Amino acid sequence: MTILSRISHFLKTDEPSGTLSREQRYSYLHRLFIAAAFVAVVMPLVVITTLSFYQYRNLLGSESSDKLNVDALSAKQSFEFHIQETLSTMVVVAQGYSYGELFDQQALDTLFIRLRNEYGWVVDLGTLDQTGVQRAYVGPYPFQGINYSDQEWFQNAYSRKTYISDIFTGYRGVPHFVVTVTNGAPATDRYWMLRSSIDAEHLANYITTINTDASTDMFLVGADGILKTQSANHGKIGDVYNGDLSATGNKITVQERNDDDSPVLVASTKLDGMPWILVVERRGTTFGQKWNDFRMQFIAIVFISALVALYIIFRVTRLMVSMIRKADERRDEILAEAQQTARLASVGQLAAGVAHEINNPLAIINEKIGLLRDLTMASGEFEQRDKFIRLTDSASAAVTRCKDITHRLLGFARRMDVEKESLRINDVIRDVVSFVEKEALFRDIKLELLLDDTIPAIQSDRGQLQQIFLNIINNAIDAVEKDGTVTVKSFLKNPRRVQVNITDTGPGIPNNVIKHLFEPFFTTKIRSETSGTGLGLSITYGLVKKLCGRISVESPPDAGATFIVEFPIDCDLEG
Amino acid sequence: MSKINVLLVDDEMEFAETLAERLRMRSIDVKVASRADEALTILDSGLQPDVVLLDIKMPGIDGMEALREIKARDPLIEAILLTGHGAAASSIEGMKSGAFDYLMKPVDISELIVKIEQAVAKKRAVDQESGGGSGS
Repeated sequence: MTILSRISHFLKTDEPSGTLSREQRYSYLHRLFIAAAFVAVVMPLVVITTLSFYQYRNLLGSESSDKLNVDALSAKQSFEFHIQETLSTMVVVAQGYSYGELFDQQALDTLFIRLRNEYGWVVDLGTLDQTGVQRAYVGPYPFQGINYSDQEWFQNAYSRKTYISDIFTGYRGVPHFVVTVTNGAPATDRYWMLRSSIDAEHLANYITTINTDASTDMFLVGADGILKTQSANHGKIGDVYNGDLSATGNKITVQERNDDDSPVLVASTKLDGMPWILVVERRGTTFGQKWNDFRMQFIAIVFISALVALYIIFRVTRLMVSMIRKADERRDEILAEAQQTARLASVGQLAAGVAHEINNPLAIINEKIGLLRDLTMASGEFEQRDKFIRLTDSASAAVTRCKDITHRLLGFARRMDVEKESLRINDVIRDVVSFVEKEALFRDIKLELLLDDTIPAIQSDRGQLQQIFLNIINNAIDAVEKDGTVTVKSFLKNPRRVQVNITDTGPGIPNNVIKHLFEPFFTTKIRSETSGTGLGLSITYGLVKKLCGRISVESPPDAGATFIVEFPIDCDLEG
Repeated sequence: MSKINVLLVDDEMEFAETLAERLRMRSIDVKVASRADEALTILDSGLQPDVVLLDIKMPGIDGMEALREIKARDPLIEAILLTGHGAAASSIEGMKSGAFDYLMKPVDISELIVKIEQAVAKKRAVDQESGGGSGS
């Protein structure tokens, strides 16, 4: 059974789970509501936030990849421009000289000085003939007249217009590379080659210059996978690069690699006209500080949202269960009131029927006794005549008492005429108290009035209100002992209803008695000649209802009883 | 004042006979009928009572219907309703149908005598105005 169907089932029936008590049922309902709300609110929150989390992560990943791509492209262009600029200058210079001029040492010196002024990283400059012999040379090494024909770089450069060699140590024992420009057709006596060398250290320095990001490792790798410049993460020149560059082409290639569970973004590209691959690696957090900040904020927001949602769920659930509990209690009250009203109504009808049926034989008894008395009065003196008359009078008094009871019973059952008028309830209470204060004084009972005179006038029937308060106050006086107190308190319960509490300091009323208090003939008084008929409170109940009011009794343990009577400011009284 | 004539209609014969005897002891002529139709027969036979004492709740024709029949025969006859019912509504209906008054059972004989005398006084005053006689 799903949670929703359980709740639906629960709300439709009073006994959803066998023998659960009402409190257990509310607790059960509380848990069901929380579970339903959790599924309806928190689960979607978790799903949405998880999706958003990964969506943003991918977005940032893409952004990081793009940024590395741009950085690598910028470095490639900068690097290529730097080297190609030197080469281009040499090409221009070479074109400005005719064959033989650059074999002149003095001319080469002049050219070297000019070249150094512009490109300080050029180490030396030499002019080679077609046989590979360096005919002229300017630089720090004694390389004048050396034959390079067996050198790999010479062989590669010989037939090319321009050439940039790989890094090698050569005769000088220092890692460097050469840049050459040739002029004239190869294998002719007009052929010459202008050669300059640049230290590999310059490349490392230049990379340091263009790499301004401390988290980025930028270096050169040869086609053979050997490091040509130092790498922060892969070692020194000559070490083997352990990354995969098989997919590298002339465009920027970006891949992700994991080193010791740490993600590394790798961008690589071949450098145009050079035998090297430029590698740019960014390791640590793939997405940088931005991602860390976002992740912390995101987790905090989700956590707080979940807490707030749970708090609201708990509060709303508690409120709903409380409302259901109150509705149940109200329903029980209405049911109990309806049962009470129905019981009283049926008892009232029964009482009226009984009263009517008794009235006829009572009338016969009345007439027979009357006739006996008439005959006695009409006859002459006889023994025990006076006693006979006394007996018939006594019997007539008993019939009169019965008649009073039956007439009151009939009055209880029928609706009496009412006269609606605007009156102040405190005036009615004061009138009634004036009737009974002598009786109270005689019995040393204090009558205390706490009347709020700001209560507005109400539309009601004065006579019936008097009857109501007289009955209740008389009952209260009967309930208290000598030196007891009866307090009558009136106040405005709300803008539409007035309330009167009649409290006594008597022994109180047990709960089992309160249930029957308004039923006809129910009395706790000992029957005597002067005792009541047991109709007072039932008549009071009927009158209060007729005046659109409510009556109830509260009697806390070890305290007196309080009769609570409420009336609306206005009531649609029926005649 | 001539003797008062009363027709007492009540299905409780014990009550009716006893009350009749008490009224006779007070110099009132009383004729008793146990049913409404019997009372109407008596009226049709020529008896002209001053007052009819009429129980409301009776088998057959009830008191209210009987009141209307009596008034149809002689509007000057006064009727006092006797009821053990206590329902104000039926009493008011009776008054509207022309009853002089109504009393709740058990009745106090003194009160009943006063009502009868008031009813008779009214009837005889009307008789004199119309120039008729009671016939008694």
